[in-house]
Amino acid sequence: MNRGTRGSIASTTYVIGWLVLLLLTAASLISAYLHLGVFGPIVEFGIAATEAAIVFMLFMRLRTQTPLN
Amino acid sequence: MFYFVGTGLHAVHLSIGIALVLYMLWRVRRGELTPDYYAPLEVLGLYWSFVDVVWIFLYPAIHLVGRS
Repeated sequence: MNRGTRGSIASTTYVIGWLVLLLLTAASLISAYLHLGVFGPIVEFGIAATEAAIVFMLFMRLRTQTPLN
Repeated sequence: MFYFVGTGLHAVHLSIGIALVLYMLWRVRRGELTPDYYAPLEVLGLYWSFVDVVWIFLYPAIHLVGRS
């Protein structure tokens, strides 16, 4: 599994990624109480997409994987 | 209905994930997973992260919509 990766990721990067996920979760919770109307779900699912991108790129290692080998 | 199917199915996935993580902890304790062979840990991490992403979208869909 080590083959096909470009370098290693420092463990502090994962902690920062986790903290950013927590902040985004709090932001989406707050946005639900701001009476944004039709823009509420747009903002909340936009935040969700950003969170998913962090999980895909960092925690599922898409950012550091090379093409199939 | 959507709520109970969504959270129920997610609970099943989470239970499987927790059981697998405990199993991996046991394998690490036994010394079966080493810096030279840790592919099962990587694959389990992918499964766990996938279940995580499901919740990321399930949370706004069932808990935030219609809140204000």
